[in-house]
Amino acid sequence: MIKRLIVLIIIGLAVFGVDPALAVGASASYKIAAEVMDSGGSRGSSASYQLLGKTRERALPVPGSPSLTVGEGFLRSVYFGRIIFGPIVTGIKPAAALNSGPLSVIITGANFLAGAAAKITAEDGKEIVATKVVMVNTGAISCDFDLTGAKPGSWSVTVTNPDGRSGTLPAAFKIIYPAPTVSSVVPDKGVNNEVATLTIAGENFREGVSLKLSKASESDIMAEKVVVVSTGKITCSFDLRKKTVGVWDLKVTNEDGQYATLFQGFKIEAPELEVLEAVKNKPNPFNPAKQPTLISYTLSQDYDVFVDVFNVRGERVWRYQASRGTMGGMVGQNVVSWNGTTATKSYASEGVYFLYVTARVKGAQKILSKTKVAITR
Amino acid sequence: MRKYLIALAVILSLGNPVPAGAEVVGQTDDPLVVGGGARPIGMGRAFTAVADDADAAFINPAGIGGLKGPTAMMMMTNMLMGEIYYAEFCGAIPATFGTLGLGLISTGVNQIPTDVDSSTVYTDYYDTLIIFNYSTALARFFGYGRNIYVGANYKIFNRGWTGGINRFASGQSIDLGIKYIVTPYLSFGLSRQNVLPVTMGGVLHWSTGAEEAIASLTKFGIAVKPLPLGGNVLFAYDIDFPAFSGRPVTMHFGTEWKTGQLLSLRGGLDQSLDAAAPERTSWNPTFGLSFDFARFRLDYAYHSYYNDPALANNYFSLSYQADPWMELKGEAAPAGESPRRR
Repeated sequence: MIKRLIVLIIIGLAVFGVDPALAVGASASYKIAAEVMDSGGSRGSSASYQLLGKTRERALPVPGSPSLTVGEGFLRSVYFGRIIFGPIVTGIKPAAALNSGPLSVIITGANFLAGAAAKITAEDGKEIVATKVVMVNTGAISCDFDLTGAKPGSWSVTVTNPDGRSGTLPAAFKIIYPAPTVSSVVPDKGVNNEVATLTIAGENFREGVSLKLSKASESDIMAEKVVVVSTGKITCSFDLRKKTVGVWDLKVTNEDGQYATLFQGFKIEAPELEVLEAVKNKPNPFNPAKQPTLISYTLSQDYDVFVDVFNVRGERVWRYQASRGTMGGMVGQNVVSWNGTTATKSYASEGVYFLYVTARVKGAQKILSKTKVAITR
Repeated sequence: MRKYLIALAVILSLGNPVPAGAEVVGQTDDPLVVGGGARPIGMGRAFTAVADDADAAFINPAGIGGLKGPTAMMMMTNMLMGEIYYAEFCGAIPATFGTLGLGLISTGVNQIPTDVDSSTVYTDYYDTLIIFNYSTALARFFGYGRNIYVGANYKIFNRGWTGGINRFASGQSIDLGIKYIVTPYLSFGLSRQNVLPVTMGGVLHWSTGAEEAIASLTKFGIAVKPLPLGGNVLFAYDIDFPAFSGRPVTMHFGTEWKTGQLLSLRGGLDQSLDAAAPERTSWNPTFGLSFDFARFRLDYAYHSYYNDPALANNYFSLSYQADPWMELKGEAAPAGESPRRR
């Protein structure tokens, strides 16, 4: 009677499609003939196996699970059993390194066994076998690779257990060249009506290098005619015509994507000294006894500049002298304050004054910009 | 009349035209800084002891006392590359009681970009000076001084803004001068500009209530015609002592060579205020020439500024001088007297 009841229950479970293996954790005493074909690939998310002469695929309940219980057949409970997977590689640290000298790494994954071997394999099949392999635990192995002279690029990482099962993580490790550095650019400035030829000094330049000048809110200027003279020297040209004046960053990028930037390393100037934004003062009028007036103008390049104020009699009553590159004499906007005092060592009287921005250009004093200043008391 | 003259002399000797504690916000200058026609400017503004033209009132009010006939002069120019218009007119008429003169200086600037209610409004600035001038020989009042002329200017200032800024100012002051003709080859001049103290009204009143004292200046000059040069070459020297305006002392050198009846050549050095110079002054070369024809004289002057050619000015003035119409006391020919009158 009891035997009949058990058979009826089993038949019922089979008919209603419930996998008794997952539901009740069937006994491993049943015989099973299963052969693992694949341990789940890089993610360890599925397994394929052969059972009763057929290849089958099954998702793993937990990625990277070290084992899986399967059951097949009309009466599934007949064929229960556990299968053991091979190693699974999920990562390597560090994931990239220069091709110089030995490197210690940690390979992470699952199902690693004591005595496992490791290697990295290039796309062209070249292999580097790990040394000093130590199994930290079933999920981690430490080992060394001698990367001296190894070809830069992506390499796959393979771990092979002593039972012959292996796991591979493709393109998991990258061998790179040293990053470039930039130490100088000669000349460090050019005018925006010419194609400038530059020589860049630094280290680790490689064939295929690209260069560009960058500035906020401006389109990049790409280098042309780039010649890698040596790993420490590049010559190239930049078309600076009609480009915005000011300081630009020089960026050197090797073919492997590594780059170096010389911040504010290059300056673009106008062909001649110009005031790009005419001189003006605010407030106008102003009362010297209460507040100064701020004189602003924009220069096309660094230059020694004078700001002169003349009175209505034609006398120069105030001068501000700005050295090249300092406030008043630098490329871009300059702001100079005049508090209304004059050469008479007192505040200017009420009236109109003439404000000239001048510079000595080619041996002659040149008025770059001018405006009229009103003083009220 | 003597007592008035003595009163003038007292004022002339005043040392401080701006009493301490005056309720003024500062000092303002006088259009006479530029004043004078192309002839004085061509001589580096060394003209205090020369002062023998109608425009003498702009430099030494005593100068017109020696004129023997009606004289007039006008000059119009633009300074600072055309930014400043400048015009002056003057005339003098000898009379039995002395010589009367009238002068007008009109200068200003247009199109000043001022901020009014957060927008730019263009404003014009004007500056006008009217001068009433009187001069005569000291001998008119005393038994001596035939060759000593004294003179005075009464000046009315008008300034203001129109357009974005609307305010104006008016004021008055007095100039006093002496010219002593020692010999036809040597003369001295002394001129005190704006000597009227603030307490006596020598101030510029703005419509806003602000007041500015008018800068006072004492000018002393010497004019010499070296005999070895035949009296055709005139050398003049002026030194200016500003009073309480903060301006530095400046000097002026000038020379004039009368080449004949038609042409005179001039040159000079004009020391000007210059904020860029360590001493606050710089020397500016000048030169000029004049052509005499009939009763007219055309003067030209070139005045450089601060070694900057762009700032140099060209001055043209036209003078008219009628024939002498009366004999005056103090007739000695002054050094530097204009050629036609000798």
